Amino acid sequence: MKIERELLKGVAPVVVLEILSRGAMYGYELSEAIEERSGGILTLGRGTLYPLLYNLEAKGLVKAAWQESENKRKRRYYSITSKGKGELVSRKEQWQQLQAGANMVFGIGVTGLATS
Amino acid sequence: MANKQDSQSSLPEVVTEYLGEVIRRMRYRKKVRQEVRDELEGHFVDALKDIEEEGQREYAARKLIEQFGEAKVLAKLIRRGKKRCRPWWRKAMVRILQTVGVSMLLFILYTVWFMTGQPTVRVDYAKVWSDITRPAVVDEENAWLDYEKAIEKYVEADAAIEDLIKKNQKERKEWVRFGGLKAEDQEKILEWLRQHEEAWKNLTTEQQEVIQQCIGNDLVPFLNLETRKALPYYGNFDREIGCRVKGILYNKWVPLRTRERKPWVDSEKVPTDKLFEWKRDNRVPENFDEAVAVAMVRKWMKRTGQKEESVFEGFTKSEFESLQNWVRQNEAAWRDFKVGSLKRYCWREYGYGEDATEEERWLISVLLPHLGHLRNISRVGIWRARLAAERGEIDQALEDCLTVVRAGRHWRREKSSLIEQLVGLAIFRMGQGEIVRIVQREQIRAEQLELVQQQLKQVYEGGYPLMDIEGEKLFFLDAIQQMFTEGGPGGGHLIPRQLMLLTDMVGSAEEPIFVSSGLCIVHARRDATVAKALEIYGQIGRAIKLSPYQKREKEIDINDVINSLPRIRYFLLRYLVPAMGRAGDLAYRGKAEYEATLTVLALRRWELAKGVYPEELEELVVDGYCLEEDLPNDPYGAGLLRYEKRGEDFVLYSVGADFEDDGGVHNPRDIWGQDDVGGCDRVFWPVGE
Repeated sequence: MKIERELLKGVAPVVVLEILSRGAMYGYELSEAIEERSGGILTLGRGTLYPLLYNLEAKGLVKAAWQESENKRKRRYYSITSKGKGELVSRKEQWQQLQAGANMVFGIGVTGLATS
Repeated sequence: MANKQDSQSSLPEVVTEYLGEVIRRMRYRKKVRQEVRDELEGHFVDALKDIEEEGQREYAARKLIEQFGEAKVLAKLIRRGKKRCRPWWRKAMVRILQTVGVSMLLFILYTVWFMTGQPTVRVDYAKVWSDITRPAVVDEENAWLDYEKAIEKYVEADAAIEDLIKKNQKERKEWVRFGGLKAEDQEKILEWLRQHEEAWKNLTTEQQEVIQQCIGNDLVPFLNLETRKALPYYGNFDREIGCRVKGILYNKWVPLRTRERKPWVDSEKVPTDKLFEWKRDNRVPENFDEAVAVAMVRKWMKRTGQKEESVFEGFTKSEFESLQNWVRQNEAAWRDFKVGSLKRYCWREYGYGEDATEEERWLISVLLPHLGHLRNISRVGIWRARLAAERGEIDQALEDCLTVVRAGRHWRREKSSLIEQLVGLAIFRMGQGEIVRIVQREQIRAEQLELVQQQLKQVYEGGYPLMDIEGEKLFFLDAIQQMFTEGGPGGGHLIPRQLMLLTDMVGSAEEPIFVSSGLCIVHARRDATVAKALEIYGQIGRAIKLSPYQKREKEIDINDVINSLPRIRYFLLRYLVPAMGRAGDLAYRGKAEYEATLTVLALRRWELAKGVYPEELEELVVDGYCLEEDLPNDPYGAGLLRYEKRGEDFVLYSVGADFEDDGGVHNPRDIWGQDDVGGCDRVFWPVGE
């Protein structure tokens, strides 16, 4: 199912922070991880991913560093900062409240929220 | 590096092109662009690493590019993200540079706008001025038409005659002639010489020669000045001799005008080296100053030993003839000049010619050219009068002087420009001064004196006019419209090149364009300048009607009004207005001279009738020799001019610009006694003594 662009725009930073909170990744790896972990539901356009990473970097939520991988290629690894972690907690809470609210409006019920 | 090249070369061409376009469109710092390229290339390499078949790689690459989106949009988004990543100091620096750049751009635009400003000339002030000054009479009553004819016919004096006139004027400025002194004063001088002869005799021959060489070149050596260097200084003989002789005659020490001294002059003329050695080696002769004074007084006595019998004394025959010839050549011009002078009115149609340049379209330049010609023809009249007096034709001489006076009156009137008033004043004084000289020099009958007195009185029947500056406002307003733009902030700004044009027109030193521009930027805008000008003109207009004495009593100083203006903000006002302060005093001086001349004529008539001069001026009124309002007021004192019977003669004087009565001491180099050095008064009678 294709997710509406505007909806994706709101959730994308939280998703990126969430995935990076589990370990540093480079751009391609991150895009693959998002697709894989969302079961193919969330496909962040590549054209969106890199500007998003730079914006998060500018806000100090992630930091980037060039590192050499096992096959001797240099890659830019992104990792979450402590500020980014705090932001992630806050965004996740907001997201859950938003989801609960939306569920109630759609008549899905509190259980829907509990099971997620 | 090898890896990088490998990965690049292994990527399909479509990827390389895409990335190239993204990076190019990023328009950002090279280092950042390279980082982004490396990162995006890495992404493509990773995405395509498991696909080996060429066609599939190409297909997959195109799909991936589709996911990245349009290169232009991606470049823009990346650029925005990267810009946000800049450290604070870099952001601050960029902002500062942007601000400076924008400011500079704005400044350049402002400067271009400022420098290319154009004046808008709306009012023809020449016409306004013509309308104001033109009386409601027919053209035939206009003296200017005759003056114009006279100017056309005027024959310039050649260089030799000009030199002759200048030399004569200089000699007439001699402080006093030894031959013209009374016997007791001559004796005083001789006695002083006897007392100080020793100072001279005590010098060695060499020392005497050094001093004589200086004095012979009209330079007075000073060696006793307290100066830092051992240089000798020199004063001008003509300036110093007055102080010396006055000091002897009035038994008071008059300081030498050493402020005008000059160090080290041409050693060819004067033995500066010798004087320098004396001073350096402390070998200045004892009583050096007295010895110099002796040499000065001797030279003066030799030069002025004879009583001046004639204006033409000292003229050679050929000089006399060439002067006569010049006066004769100007007979036709003089006739027209005289016809004009007898008319009551004089006005000019001020205007600009069809082909007038920008410079000529200023009111200030319209009025100037004719004044010099009129003064020259007046000068012809004065020499004409002197020649007539020499022939014994006193009536003719006085008539010529009155012609000059009447012509001066045409410009020294109300409703006239300041420059015209001042030139009129100078012409008037020329004629009037010569009348007094003729009265003193010649034997004139009572009827002749009475006639001259009546005619002179008729010149200003309504009283002598004080200076009027209403017309000057028009000149200033014209200057404003010529020099300022119209409209915009503050009503307009001063235009640099117009300011330069003005300074050029009035003959001031030209400032560089950047100085003029800076001045114009800081200068008050048009509305503020006009408002301030009207305020200042109002203040000066009131002050100018007061005599110097009244101004002193009320502690009003026109210079203070001007000097209180901010130096640069109201530069134009400070530049154009100051002359008016002095002009008011000049009008009062002219008034005093006019009234003094009428009084001298009345006194001479009294003396011819009664054999002695009156004790008080008021007696002239009682016996009907003049009206009470004709009695001369002192512009520098509280009442009338000082009058005193002295022996068989009298003295009539103003206390002068120092406001102090110095007993009627006259100094032709400082006739109004305005210098602090050596007190003197403005003496109207006797002339030159």
